[in-house]
Amino acid sequence: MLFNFNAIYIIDLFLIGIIALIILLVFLRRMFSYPYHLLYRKRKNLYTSIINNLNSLYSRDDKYEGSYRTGKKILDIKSHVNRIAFEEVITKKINSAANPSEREFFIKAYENSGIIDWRIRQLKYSGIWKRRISADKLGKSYSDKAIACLTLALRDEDEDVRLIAVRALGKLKVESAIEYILSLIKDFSDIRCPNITDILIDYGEKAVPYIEKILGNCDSKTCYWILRALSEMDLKTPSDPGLAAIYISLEETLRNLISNKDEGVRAYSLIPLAKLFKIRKSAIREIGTAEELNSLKELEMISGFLNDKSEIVRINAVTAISIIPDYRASNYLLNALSDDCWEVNYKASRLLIKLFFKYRNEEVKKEVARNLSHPKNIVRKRCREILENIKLIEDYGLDHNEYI
Amino acid sequence: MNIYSWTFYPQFLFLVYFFLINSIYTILMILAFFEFKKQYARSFIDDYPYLYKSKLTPGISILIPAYNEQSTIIDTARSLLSIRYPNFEIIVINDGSTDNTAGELIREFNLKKIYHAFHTKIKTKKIKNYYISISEPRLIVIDKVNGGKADSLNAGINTANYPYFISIDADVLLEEDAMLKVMKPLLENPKKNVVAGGIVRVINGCLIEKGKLKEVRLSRRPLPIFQVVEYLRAFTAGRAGFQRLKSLIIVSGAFSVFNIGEVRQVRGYDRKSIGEDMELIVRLHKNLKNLKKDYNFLYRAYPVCWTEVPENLKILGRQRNRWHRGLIDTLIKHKNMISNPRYGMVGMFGLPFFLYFEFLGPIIEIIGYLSIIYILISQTIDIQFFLLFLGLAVLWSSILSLFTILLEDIYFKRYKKWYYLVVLTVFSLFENFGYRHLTLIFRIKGFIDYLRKKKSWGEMRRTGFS
Repeated sequence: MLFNFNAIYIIDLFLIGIIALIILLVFLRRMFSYPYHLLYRKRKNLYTSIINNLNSLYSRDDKYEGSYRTGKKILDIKSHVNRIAFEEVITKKINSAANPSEREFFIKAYENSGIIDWRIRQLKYSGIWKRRISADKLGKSYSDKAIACLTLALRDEDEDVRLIAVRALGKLKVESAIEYILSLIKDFSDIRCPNITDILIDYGEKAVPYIEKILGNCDSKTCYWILRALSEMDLKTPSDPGLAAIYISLEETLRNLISNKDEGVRAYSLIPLAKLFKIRKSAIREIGTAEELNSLKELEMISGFLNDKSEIVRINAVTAISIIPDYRASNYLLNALSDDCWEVNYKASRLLIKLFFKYRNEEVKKEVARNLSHPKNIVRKRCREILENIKLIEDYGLDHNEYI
Repeated sequence: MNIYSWTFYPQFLFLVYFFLINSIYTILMILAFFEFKKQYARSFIDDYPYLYKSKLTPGISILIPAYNEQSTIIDTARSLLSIRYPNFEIIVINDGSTDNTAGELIREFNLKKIYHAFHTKIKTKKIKNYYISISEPRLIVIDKVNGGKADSLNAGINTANYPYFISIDADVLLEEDAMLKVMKPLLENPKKNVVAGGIVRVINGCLIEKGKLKEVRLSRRPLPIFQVVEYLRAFTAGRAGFQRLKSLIIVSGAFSVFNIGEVRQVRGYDRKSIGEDMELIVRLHKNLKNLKKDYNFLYRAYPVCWTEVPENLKILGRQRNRWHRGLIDTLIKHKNMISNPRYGMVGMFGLPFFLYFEFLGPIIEIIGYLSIIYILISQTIDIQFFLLFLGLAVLWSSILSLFTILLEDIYFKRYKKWYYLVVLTVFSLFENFGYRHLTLIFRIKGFIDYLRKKKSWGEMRRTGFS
């Protein structure tokens, strides 16, 4: 016999034991966690009603002081379940606060509950997971108390803690952290860098002076992610002369970067450059001459990148062309329709429709119609598509920005 | 029994096979435990609202192939139009439906015929018309000649304008953040991560209101409950294990995101394939390995898509029959990859596993049952010993199923009521008494049908969510 009878018998018993153990685990877990969850739910409801009542009871300017005196006992939170429940309720309230004074009230309640101090202690001294969660919660607290600790967390050994701290500081829009955040990019793994870029986008124009300072002399990875942020930022004509000077210097740096060896750097320096051109032109419109207003030089410069060997450079060149405020951009976009890369010709066709509606230039339509007999199949297809889309938008009075 | 007896060697091989298959399943479960633990921990710090607001989040084309789906297509399209994702388009491909699928869409979304430029790299059946919605600019409808699911998806891939696409069946419901969750790994490393699949759960019995899942419940019928246990074991935990071993070759056709460039490079789905989603994954593996690229195919357990499973044996039989034919078809098409070290873990573990344990499994199991009958009749084995051994087999399988219930309760907790937990526990214990054998018969029939070169999908009747 291959197996001893007793051996199988013992194995069977062993397996029955494991089954019993798993079943016990399933149900015991639920049984033991049940009172916790029940308590948690009850506490959550309790805190929700307390906070709602406190907020509605004290509507004067000093409402916080009053509510604190009344609610002191309740807000003196010590047990773990109470802390978690209160934190859940209060962070939700902070994020959904209707006005700044209401938010201020909730933040103060949060600070005085002692939970922020508890989170700060955790962020300083606990293990990785507690540090990560604490950084996340502190970021959602909008408390000034948290800022110093989160800034310290930017030097944490764990990448995720650093990232969460960056995210939190970004949410709180702490300007003093920008420089440090920029210096972190080179040490972050590629998968975390998009987060940093998003945070820089959130900072908006505030970040531009810091970016300008390091853009010309940083490594290509940092440069790439900063440029991606700049490409997405909503840059407007600066009212502050200092910022205007920074924009001029940034434009110079970007002009150098468009000839960079790295295709990513090349590609993403085109869009902010076009945005700066646009800003410059709108300033010139106020004070400059007609010759200065002419954008042909800029258009030609960027359209040179439509022949770049990198697809991403060509795609961004198309976008950059459409940003430059000149109706002649449509000629360059028409040329881009013959690009073999699907993404390039797609983007060009969409932007042509947008340009048509922006300038209401019938010449664009005529030029597109002429290209219906273009020798290249894709150009014919795209032109037909553009004309039909324009017709549809006009016929049904659609909003082209939403439709395209 | 002695080693000179002729029955010794088959029995020995059978035992080796039995221990091997169960050991591998056990290892997969343990790996799944670690994978879920990791994903669970990450779920606390993944900031999806942030991702939703991010300007770097790339666009995604959602492809919905529809064949005679007039009862569900409007709900599906409506529910998908309300998903939380910043930049997407929905492409419904009406694959020559004989019912009023196209008419319903035209009426509901105010569709207008329009010319649409499309790729011609992947050949498809003739496109009759493109429609665009006046009320929902993100909705495109392709009306084409019937060519099957793979052909429809290829038409969608040709039309898609975004760098990623997701194929979603017309009869599924997505959770609110599902798209962000399934896209997250692809966004984290777009160069390396090519495919990401989410988890498919059983919707039968759940409470649905206005195309949204309100409460997770279990069906009152036993067949869907058995499938809940089966989905948890084989799809949820099994795939997590395979992903850990870098040999994931099945992602759900109902809910998976692909890098469109990579799919276009391999010319889309194979129109002649029965299991087109598995075949595409294997072909992508092959292409990427041949190009010596460093890549990942990922499986994520938190993005959830809910689907209706068969409620009667006839439809379940058809479904399993087709799945099995699809598996055989893919294995035969890519036989040169099996046990080929050039294809890494996919060639050395993933494909051999599916060949020896999933494709040949039912045949070996049937031979096993027949030989047991013979042994019992010929009385060459002690009946007590036989029962003990049978017990071992059943207990081991039950442990695997129970373990997934435990994992479900620790990391996902979808079935909140105690009653559901009890039901799932009982069903996982009884899965080996009948249900497993039923699916075995369906798979054997699938094998026979494959030999008879049967290519049809078989009708899948849906009741609709409402």
